[in-house]
This record gives sequence, C-alpha cells and structure tokens, in this order.
Amino acid sequence: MAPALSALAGIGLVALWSLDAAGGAASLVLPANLIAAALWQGT
Amino acid sequence: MAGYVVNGYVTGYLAIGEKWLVPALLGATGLAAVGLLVMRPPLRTPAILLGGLAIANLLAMPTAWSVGTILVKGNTGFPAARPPFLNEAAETQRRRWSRVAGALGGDPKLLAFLQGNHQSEAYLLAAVNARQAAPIIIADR
Repeated sequence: MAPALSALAGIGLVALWSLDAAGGAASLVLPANLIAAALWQGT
Repeated sequence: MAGYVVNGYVTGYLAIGEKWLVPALLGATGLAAVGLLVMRPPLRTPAILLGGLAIANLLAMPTAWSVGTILVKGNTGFPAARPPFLNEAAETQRRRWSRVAGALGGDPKLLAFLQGNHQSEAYLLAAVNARQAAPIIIADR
C-alpha cells in the first residue's frame, strides 16, 4: 500500500505546487494544507 | 560498534528533544507555510526552500517513529510500532500487553500461584493464544 500512497502524495504535491504558482485564491491551498498537516501531527 | 554509536546518538537525541522537538518542528512548518502565504507572487527559489523545509519538518516525526520501531528492545516475538520516546506509563503498559497477548515467558505471579496451590487436581487453563499458554504448560510439567 505504501507505494500507491506515496504516488498519490507526489501527485498531490505537484498539483498543490501548480495551484500555488498560479496565484489567486487557489494558491492558499498549499500553505493551508501544510498548516493542517502540522496541526494534525500535533494532536 | 558503529551501530551502538548511532543507536546511542539517535535515542539520546530524541530523548533530550522530547519536550521541545515536536513543537519546534511543527512551529517551523507553520512559519514556512506563512512564508509561502505572504510571498506574493511566489519567487521560485525561496518558495522551493520554504516548501521543502515544511515537508521535511512534517516527515521528521514519522521518520523518528520508524527509527524508534527499529531500535526497540524487548519482546521480539511481539513487535509493535512505537514512538522513539515513551513515558513511564506507556512503557509499563506495553510490557503488560506483550505479556498478556504475546508472551514468550510465563507470568511469574501466575506460575507461582498455580504451583503453590496445586494439589494434584486437574485444572483448566484458558489463554488468549498458544504463545501465552506454551510457557505455562512447560513450567507446569
């Protein structure tokens, strides 16, 4: 299962990076995801 | 020799960092994310550095958890994923659980009771699994 999940994470990261570079409201998704992941780890 | 050095270094480092390491990593991730938020339009190199820092921070604790699992000492017949640092309660609980569900050696208190109160009568032993029953069967012979 780990390879498949890793591939999905990579795909998601590339998509988030594209959204961030595109600008606009969609560019908030990458930082918001990073903050959400940090909060999730902290709980 | 190198294994002992790495083992001691990693476990010592993580034990020392128990109080501040997690907040520091998560705080740095938050700061990197805020940096990405305020940098408009995003500059390629700083954005890569901030994003890389944030992701590396997020992967640090899962990596440390994996290292903790590799370095665990104890009941190898009952392996379990674990964080690199356990408090006293968690350590005690793990020892108790490994004894209940996957013991390689019998519970000494139970064995002492059975041997001390046994008067040649037959008794029925109920166990969670064969691994728990085996050492009691052997000790009772």
